[in-house]
This record gives sequence, C-alpha cells and structure tokens, in this order.
Amino acid sequence: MTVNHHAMDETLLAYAGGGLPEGLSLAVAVHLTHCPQCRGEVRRMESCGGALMDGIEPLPLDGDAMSRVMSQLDDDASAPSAADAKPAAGGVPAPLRDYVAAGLHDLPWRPLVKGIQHYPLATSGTARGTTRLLRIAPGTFIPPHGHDGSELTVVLDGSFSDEIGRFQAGDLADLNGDVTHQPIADADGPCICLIATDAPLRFKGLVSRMLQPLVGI
Amino acid sequence: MLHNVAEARKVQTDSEAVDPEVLKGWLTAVAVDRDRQAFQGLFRHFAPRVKAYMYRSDRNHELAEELAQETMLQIWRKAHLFDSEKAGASTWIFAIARNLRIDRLRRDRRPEIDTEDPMLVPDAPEDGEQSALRSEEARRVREALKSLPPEQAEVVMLNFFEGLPHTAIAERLSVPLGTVKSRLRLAFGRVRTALGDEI
Repeated sequence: MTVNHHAMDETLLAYAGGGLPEGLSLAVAVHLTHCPQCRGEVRRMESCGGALMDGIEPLPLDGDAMSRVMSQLDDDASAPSAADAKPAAGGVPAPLRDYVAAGLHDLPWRPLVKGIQHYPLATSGTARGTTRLLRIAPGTFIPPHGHDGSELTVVLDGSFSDEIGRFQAGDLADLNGDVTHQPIADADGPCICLIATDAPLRFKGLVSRMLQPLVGI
Repeated sequence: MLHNVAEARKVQTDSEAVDPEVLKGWLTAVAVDRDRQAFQGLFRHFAPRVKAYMYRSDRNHELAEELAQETMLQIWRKAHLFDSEKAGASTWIFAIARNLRIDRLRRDRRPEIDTEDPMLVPDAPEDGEQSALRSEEARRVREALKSLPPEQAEVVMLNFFEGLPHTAIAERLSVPLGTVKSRLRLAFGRVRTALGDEI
C-alpha cells in the first residue's frame, strides 16, 4: 500500500537528531516502516549528523581505552540469534512490538468514550504528553481539538478522514499547535491508530472540555 | 600529561584526513572478516569524535568516556547490520552513538525500524546514478553544511549534537518555536539541493 501522508521535515530532523520524545519517535518509526521515501530522508539527515560528527573537535580517550575495548571483543555477540527475532504478532510493526504483548485485535482494549477504546502505551515518564493506541468504531467522531505541542497520529489498521484527507495504514498525520482537526473513522471498519503527543490536547467546546479530564489525551 | 594530550590531539588532527571510503572499507572488514586491525583504525578515528559528541550533551568527561567505549563495542557487535549500499560509516556510527545516548542519558527507549520486519515496505531499487551519487554523498553533505548561514548552522548543531527537542532549542536561543523549525527546514533544504534530490 502506498503511503500518502508523510512526516514534516522538522519532525524527521528531530527524530534523526535524537531530540524527539519517545512516543513521537514511536509514531515516526511506525510510519518509516511503511514509507521508503521518509526512510531515505532520515538517512540523508543522519548523514548530516555523521558529517558533523566527523568535523567535531575530537576529545582524546583515556590512554588504555583502546586496549580495554579490544579485550572485550572476544565475547562476541554479533551473530543474530533466534532470540533476537521477535515474533510478528498480528498487524504489529516491529517498532511497536516492545510496547504491546498481543496482536492489535487481541489487546485488552479499555472503553474511553462511546465508540472509542484505548490502550495506553508505557513510554518514558520524562515526557509531558501521552502515547496510546485508539480503536475507533466506524463512523465515530473524535471531538475537535487543537494542540499545545505536537501530535502525531499513525494509522495501523482501517482508516480515518479529517479536513486534510483520508488516512490509511502507514499514513502519518503530523500536526503542530496551529491546527485544529476533527477526525472521523471511515465507515468500512474500525480504525486502529497510534496517537502520541508531547503536550496535553486542548479540546474545543464545553462538552468536549468536560470530556477532557476523562479522556486525558 | 599535557604533553600526552597534545600528542593525542595531533594524532586525531592527522586522522581527520581519513577518506570516507577508507572508513567504509574498515567497517566492512570488521563486519565480514572480524578484522581487528580495521577496528583499531575505526577506533582511532571515531572514538574521540564520539566522546566529544557525548560530552556535548552532559558535560561529564567520565560518562562521555564510558559511552564512547560502549559505542565502539556496539560497532564491533552490530557491524553485520551495516549496509554499505545505504550509508557511509560516519552516518551509521552517528546513529549508534545517538541511540546509545538516548538510552543512557535520557533513559528513553529509541523506537527504530527493523530491516527484517515482514511489514517493512521495501526500498525501490536504486538506479546506477543514485548509487554513484552515494559515494559522493558525504562530501556534498559536508560542503552544504559548511555553506549554512550562522543562524541555520546553530540550530542544526543543537538538533544533531545536543539532541535537544525543538522547544528546548527555542528556549535556549530565545526565538519562537516556528523560527527554529523554519531554520531547520531551510538548512536541510540546502542539503537536499546539494544532493540533487527532487523530492
């Protein structure tokens, strides 16, 4: 399947530089699994990192550093072992496998609001935002919301549409604080997506705002 | 001691002239033949640079030393994953150092693609022109980065060396977040143009 919605350059640059929070990086890595084009971009960005590192003022290591490292080369763990290969659970791309214990449809989904179930992902506690999977029943609206920070949504299964277009498996909605959008899951089946933020969302409208403490996304 | 440091610096300065193709050759020799001499060549070139990179984010000599040594060990252990068709040695080693830094300094996990993932949509095959360009890539990227105006070079350094989130870069420089992002976009635009890419 061809991916139609991509990450913005600044998002990929933050990922390549290592400054993107874990949850947002997870969304990017899932997108990259589906998107050779953005993988090429990240490689070019990493080559910037490599070029900069080549030009850095070197800091000499301790005198015995090389011999210490050389003496550890014997315990050679280089051969890829069967234990490294994680089983491919249903519909779960590799970057996500560290975070979920089962296939997408077998997860212990918890009800969030009518038509929407969620499965929070345990990312590092340093970030202010949240990372979770959402399972949205066909035709369900997500309340209109804006963002104080960044929000990345990547579709894992099914599709949703918003003002920007239709998002299918692998498509990434890369939204910054200026955008307010109202996604609706398409009618042909439930939509499962990963949604990561680096700041709490701002819901518009009184009813939606009452939802917010409950929703917590 | 001072004398030793000066000596070491001299050696490192000399090694700046190492050709990217030579570095790639060493890394390939480590991957294929487990060549220890080639690994020593990589160590002399990269370890002091990785240490300087690590030092940038934490300003802790001991930790930078430890992480530089750990990075070198990982290079030895992961060398079989190096794909010389796709990246130069510096690019690949930068990514290893970056991931180790995220893991150890920020205590975050680093989500990455897995090239063996059955769900991975494969790259389109490259044509001859693209692979020919690859060997040129390192030089072109370096030239493009050198040509950046100072305010763009500054955000690029903070993005890649300090690994700072863009909000933190904005705070550090006292400029709006949008300015950080647009400077980064412009800077990378130059790299893209230098690589002759029409995306």
